[in-house]
Amino acid sequence: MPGYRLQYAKSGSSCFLSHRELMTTLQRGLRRASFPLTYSKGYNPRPKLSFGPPLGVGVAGLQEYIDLELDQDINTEEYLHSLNRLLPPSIRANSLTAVPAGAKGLGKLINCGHYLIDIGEGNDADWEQLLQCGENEGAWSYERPGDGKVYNVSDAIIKSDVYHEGERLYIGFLLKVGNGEIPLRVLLDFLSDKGGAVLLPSMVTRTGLYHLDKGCLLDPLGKRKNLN
Amino acid sequence: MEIERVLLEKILPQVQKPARYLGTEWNAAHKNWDAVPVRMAFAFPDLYEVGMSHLGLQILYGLVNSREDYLMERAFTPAPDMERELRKTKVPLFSLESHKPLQDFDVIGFTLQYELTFTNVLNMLDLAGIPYRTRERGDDQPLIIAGGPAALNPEPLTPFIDAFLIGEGEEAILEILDLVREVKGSSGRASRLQLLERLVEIPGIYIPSFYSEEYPRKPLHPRAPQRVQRRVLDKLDFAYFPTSPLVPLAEAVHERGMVELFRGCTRGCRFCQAGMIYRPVRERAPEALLAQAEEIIKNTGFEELSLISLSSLDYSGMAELLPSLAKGCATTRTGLSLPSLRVDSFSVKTAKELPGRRTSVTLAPEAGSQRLRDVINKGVTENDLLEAVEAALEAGWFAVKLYFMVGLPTEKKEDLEGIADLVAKVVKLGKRQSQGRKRLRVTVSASTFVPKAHTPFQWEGQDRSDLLEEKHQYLRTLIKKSRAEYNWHNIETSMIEACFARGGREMGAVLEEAFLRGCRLDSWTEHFNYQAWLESFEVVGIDPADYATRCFDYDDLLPWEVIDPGVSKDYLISEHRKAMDEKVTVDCRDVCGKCGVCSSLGVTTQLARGRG
Repeated sequence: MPGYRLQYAKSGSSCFLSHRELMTTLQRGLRRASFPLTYSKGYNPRPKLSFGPPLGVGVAGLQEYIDLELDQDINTEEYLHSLNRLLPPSIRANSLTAVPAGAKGLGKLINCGHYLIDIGEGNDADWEQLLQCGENEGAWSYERPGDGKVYNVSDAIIKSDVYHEGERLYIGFLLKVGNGEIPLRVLLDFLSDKGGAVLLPSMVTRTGLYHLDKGCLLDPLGKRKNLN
Repeated sequence: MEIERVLLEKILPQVQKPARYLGTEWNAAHKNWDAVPVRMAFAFPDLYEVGMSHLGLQILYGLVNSREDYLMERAFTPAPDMERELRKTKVPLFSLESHKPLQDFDVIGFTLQYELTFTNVLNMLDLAGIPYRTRERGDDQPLIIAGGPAALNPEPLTPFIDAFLIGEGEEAILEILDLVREVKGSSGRASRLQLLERLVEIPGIYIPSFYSEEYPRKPLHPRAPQRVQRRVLDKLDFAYFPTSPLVPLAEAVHERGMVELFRGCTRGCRFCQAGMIYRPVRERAPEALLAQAEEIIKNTGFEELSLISLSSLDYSGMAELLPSLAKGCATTRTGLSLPSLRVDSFSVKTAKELPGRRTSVTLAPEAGSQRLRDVINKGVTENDLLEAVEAALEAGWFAVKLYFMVGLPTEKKEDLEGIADLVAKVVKLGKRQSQGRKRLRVTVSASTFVPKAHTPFQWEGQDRSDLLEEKHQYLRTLIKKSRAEYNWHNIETSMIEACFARGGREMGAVLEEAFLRGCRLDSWTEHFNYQAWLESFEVVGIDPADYATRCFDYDDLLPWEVIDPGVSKDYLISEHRKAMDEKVTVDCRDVCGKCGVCSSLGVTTQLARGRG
């Protein structure tokens, strides 16, 4: 069966969909666009879709992925165009590409993601120093109130940066996904605690998902990106 | 814009399932607010997941929005966390599509599907910043109307609703909006009083303030009818049906496309209000249904299509419809479901042919003995049930759900024992047939009988709750022996339901007290606050136990008699008498039962095939 990889973005109001709601919305969009989806066998056949790592409720994603198994080859340009007509405007399909047989699935491929937190204006905390301090100390740990579970935050952070855009402040994180991942909410609570600002998932955008290997970032479509 | 900003930045990040409040569903109507002269909000007094599963919403939403000059947007009851955020941020309850305050609409229409949603009506008005008492609303406030099955006894809600629409809304809703447009003219808002003066001319409209306070309610307004006759669509095939329905964003109770096979039911079960108030049976043509089904799947992407009606296997065009429909569904990989199965092997065998999931078969014998099934006119026998279960086993199902009702009129201990016997036989059959395979799972759900207005059992009281408790416990002990799972419906909520279902205006005061004591979302076990309800009854001076259990005589004045459902009182009396004599009435597809609907409402039974 031919396999395809769909890259899409969710933004605006669609950020507030849960992963499950997003999966259903996308699946129905694919059905409306008459994609020749391959279905599983048995009493309860389901389309063979494989979603990339989930995004939390409220978080935007610019380059998210689904792998689709189809019954036949398709004209990707036509289907991409048709899909975009039949998806809610806050979900956009960026690209659709054939995946060679035997290629690694999204779960095995992706091991990190880049997240951008929009801190906004008027927050006086010295984030640069704070992040620097965290790196130096080497072991930020966070005990979640409620269940008391302890997370090693610094272990999950591969890299962090502070950006300014005029008065607006952003913090960028390259975080582990899959192995060594911590819930984004934990990182936000931790930073809120340290920086004295209330950071919510709705301030976060995941800008990309990658495979990090030997200092090199590779996205699931095979494009390389410099770690620095 | 202000609401939108606060919603996205402050409120939605704080609440569970924010997708309930986005309003960006596929097929949602986003119209230019300023360019549309008349705007109506459809207010569903329950959570999003319940309201989005409701066919009536989809029909009226599609119908009104198909008109260029009208707009309909939705509002659901917010979940408790959302209510807290709205009150905290002082954001009024808004419509989902354009996030406009409900206050800005010309008309707000509530659908009354179930009595335990009534506190949500008051809460939604309150959250919208609109006084929930009719008398306290100004002339420049939106017109508040209500319809749906629970409006057939409107009395408990009369202090809060300006006008009720009795019966089917497809034609009447446009007549109402036409009138709003005319009265509104070029002004910003139609005067509510002027509107009511004109609305009284629309058939099916009940305006409580135009009637005397005391019973029998007499018209005080010269043009108000003595009794308000239920609206019925004559030919369903000419009626609007949505083929681009809304696709839920947050998971709804039912996630599926719907085609409506027919309205009404000919079976005549004597406890069933729907069976009385949706008469006569009007079937749609198979070819129309096929075309609708195809469009719905194409326009929504739903994974399942459901054939909706009160008793889907009674559809006379099934033999013609099903093979083509099943073929179409197989091509588009769409599951097909029949939610209302009859208790017979034919039904189960037909269901076997449907593509899609095979989880469990639900059968509703309702009563445990033949005597009691005759009393309620449920025309099934023990043999029917056992054959149906056998057919289900042969077809590969391994779970059966059996629905019964406890507390039915004339019920005796033997009838409860009959339920247990029947369940034991089903379990035994399952064991015998399942050799080597997975054993049949049998689940028994027992609800509590609630007497409803406009049914032959409207004169009957509900059993006292201590007796109901005893009956349920007894039944549970009996059923435990056969190792079937036993679920029963909360007796306390059934008692409150009974108080409203046959309640008079005095129940309005109880409702208001309950709302003020924080009662909300009463149909959800986790939110139901029985103590607050008991206190509310006490303040008003009504003993709910007496109120729910009271029996009426045939010549007693009933609070809902101002409503004429089309079924005559003589028919209801004769059905009640037949029930007491344990005599059945045959299906009116075969012989006209002379209920009076066709002659009084000027309609006829319409079957796709055969008589009609």
